[in-house]
Amino acid sequence: MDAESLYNTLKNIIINKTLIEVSFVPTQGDGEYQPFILMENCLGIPFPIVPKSLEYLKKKFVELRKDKSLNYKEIDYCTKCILLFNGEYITAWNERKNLIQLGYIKPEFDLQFTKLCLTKHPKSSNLWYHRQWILKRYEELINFDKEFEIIEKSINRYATNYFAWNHRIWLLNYMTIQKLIDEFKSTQSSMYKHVSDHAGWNYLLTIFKRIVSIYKEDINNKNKLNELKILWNEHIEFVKKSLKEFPGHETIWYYLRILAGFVYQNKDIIYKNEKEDIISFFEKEITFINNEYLNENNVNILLVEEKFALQYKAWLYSLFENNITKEDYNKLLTEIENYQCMSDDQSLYYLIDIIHRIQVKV
Amino acid sequence: MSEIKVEQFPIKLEVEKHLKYLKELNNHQDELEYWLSEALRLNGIYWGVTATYILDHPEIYDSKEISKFILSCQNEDGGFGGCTDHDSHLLYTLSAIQVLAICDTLSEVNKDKVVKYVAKLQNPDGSFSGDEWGEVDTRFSYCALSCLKILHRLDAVDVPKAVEYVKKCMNFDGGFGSVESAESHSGQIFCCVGALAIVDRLDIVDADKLGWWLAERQLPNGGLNGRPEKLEDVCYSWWVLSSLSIIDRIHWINKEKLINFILSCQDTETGGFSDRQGDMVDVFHTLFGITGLSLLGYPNLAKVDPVYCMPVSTIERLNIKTRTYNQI
Ligand SMILES: [Zn+2]
Repeated sequence: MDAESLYNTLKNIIINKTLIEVSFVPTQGDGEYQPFILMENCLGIPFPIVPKSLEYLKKKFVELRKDKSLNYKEIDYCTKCILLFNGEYITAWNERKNLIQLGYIKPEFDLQFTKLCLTKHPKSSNLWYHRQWILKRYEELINFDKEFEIIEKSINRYATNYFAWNHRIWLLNYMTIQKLIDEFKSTQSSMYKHVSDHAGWNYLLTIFKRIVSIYKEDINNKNKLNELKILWNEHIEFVKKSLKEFPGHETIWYYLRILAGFVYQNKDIIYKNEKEDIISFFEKEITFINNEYLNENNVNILLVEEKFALQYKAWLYSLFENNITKEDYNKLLTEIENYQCMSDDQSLYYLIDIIHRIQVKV
Repeated sequence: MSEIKVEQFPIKLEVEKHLKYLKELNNHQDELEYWLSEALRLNGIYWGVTATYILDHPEIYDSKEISKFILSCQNEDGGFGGCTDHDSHLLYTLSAIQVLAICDTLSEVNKDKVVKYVAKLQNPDGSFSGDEWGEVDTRFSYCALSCLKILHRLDAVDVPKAVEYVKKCMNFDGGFGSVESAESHSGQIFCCVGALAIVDRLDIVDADKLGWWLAERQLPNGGLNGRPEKLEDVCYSWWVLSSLSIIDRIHWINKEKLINFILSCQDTETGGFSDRQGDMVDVFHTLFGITGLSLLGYPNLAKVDPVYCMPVSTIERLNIKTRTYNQI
C-alpha cells in the first residue's frame, strides 16, 4: 500500500474509533483497516510501514505548514498521525499547541490524546510537557485522580520513569496542605510497590519538604510543630521498617541519607519544641546502625547491607562533623577494612579517601 | 598512575569497524531508526562527527557538506531545528554550533542571530526554556551557556542568575535534577556541573559529596549506572565519568574495569556501541563509548574535553578552555 493510502486509512481510524492504546507490532493485519490492526480499540502499527509513513508525513506536514490557506483540520490529523508514530516529534506538538491557542483544538481533547500516546511513548519528555503545558493554562482541568492514574500506568510500563515522577512533583504545586499530607501518607503506604525506584523515594521527600515549608510559615504554633514532629517520627519509623522488609535495596539507604541531610537543614523546625535536639537524631541513627547492621553477633546481615550501613554511617559522620572524634573515625576505618577483607570488594576507596581528609581537619 | 595499554584487555577497540559504521549511518534511509530519529538529526550529526574526531579520523565525513546541511536547519528566529523544517530548540542549536565549531566553519553562521535566540530563552529566575513554548530543564541551562561560551558571548545573558537557578536544583545527596526537587540523575549532573564549569562557578558544588554519589554508580561488572539500582549503561560511563573528571574525583572509580565494560559493549562485527552488551548499537552510545575511553586514557584516541564533550583540539582553537582536566 502506498504512503498516502496508509495515511488515509490511519486518519479513518482516528476519526471513527476511540483509541485507548497504541503499539508497534511485527505483523500486518488483514481486517477492515489493513495493514493496521485494531482490537478492542487498541491500535497496532506494523513495523514495516513506519519508515515510508514517516517520510510521507513529514513531507505532508511541511506542505501544510507552508500553505497559506491554513487547513487546520488536515494539520490536526497529520500531527496526530505523526505523534502516534513518534512521541518526541516536538514540532508536531508545537503545532498542536498553536491550534489549542487558536481555539481550534479543545484542550480536553489533547489531554485524552496525550494519554493515548503515553501508552506507546511513556518516556517521551515532549509528550509529558505537552500535557503539563495544557494543564498550566487550563488549571480547572487538573484532576488529581486522572493524573495519578496516568502516572501510575506509565511507571508500570517503564519503572523509574523520570518524566512521570517529575510530572507528579509538578502537581504538588496545586495541592492544599491537607491534600499534601494525604498524598504523603498514601504514597508512603504504596512504596512497597516500587521499593527499588529511587525516584519514588525522592518524591516522598519532596512532599515532606512542601509540608515543612508550609508549616514554617506558622513557626510559633506549638500544635502545628507537634503535628509535624509526629509525622516525621512516623516517617523515620516507616523507612526503618522498609529496610527490614526489603533487605538489599540500595534505594532505601540512599533515602535515609537525603532524609538526614534534610532534617539537619531543617532542625530548627522539626526539632524545635522538643527536649531532644538534632543530636539525639544522630545518636539514634548511629545506635541503630551499630546494633542492627555492624554487630558481629548479628549473623543474618547480608554483606551488601553491611556496606550500605557503613556508607550511611560515614554519611552521618560527614554531616555531624563536629560531634565526631578521632577515635570514631578510626573505628569506622577499621570497620570498612574488615568489610573489604570479608567481601573482597575494594570499591569503598572513595570513602577511605574522604575520611582521611576529614581526619586531618579533626 | 600507570599508562593504559591495549594488550591489558581481552578485546581491543575496533577502530576500523566503528569508522565504517559511522560512515554508513546516512545510508539507511529506508530503516525504522532513521525515521524515528529524524526529529533529532542534528544531535545525531553531532554524535557522529565528534566520534570520528575522537577516533582521530576526522576525514570520515565531508565537513563542507555537513556544515551546509547544518546551516539549512537554521530558522528565521536564529535558532536551529532538529532537522530541516523543524522548529528551533536549544538542544539542536547547541549541536549545530558544536558541529560548526568542530568543523571550523563557525564563520559561516550569523552569530548575532544565534546569540539573540539563546538569550531570549532565559527566564527571570535565571533558568532557560528549551524553546518558545516554555519547558524548563537544567539541560537547557547547559545548552545555552555552552553555546554562548563557544560564541564568546556569555555577556548576552545574566550569568549569576543562571548559576542561582542551577544551584536551586542541587539535592541533599550533592547531585542535581532537571528542575527544583527533581531526583538526582547522572545526565542532569553532567549538565549542571558542566554549566557551572563553563562559567567558572564550581565552588557551588560539594565535590566530596557529589563525587561520593557518582563513585557509587560503578557496579561490580565495571559499568556505571545513572541512578541507584538501575542497570549499567555506556552513556552513563560518560555522564558520570566526565562529571567526576570536572570535580577532580575520577580516581574514585576503577578504570580498568570500566574500560573492560565499555569495550564489551562494542558490536565487533558491525561496529558501533550499544548501551550494554548484546543490545542494538546506535550512534549516541557509540560516541559516549569512545569519549569514555578517551577520558580513561585508552591509547590512540584524540583527547576529549569533559566539560564541552568536544575534541580538546577544538576547545584550544576556540580558546574557551576552562582548565586542563586530569586523565586518570
Ligand atoms: Zn544509555
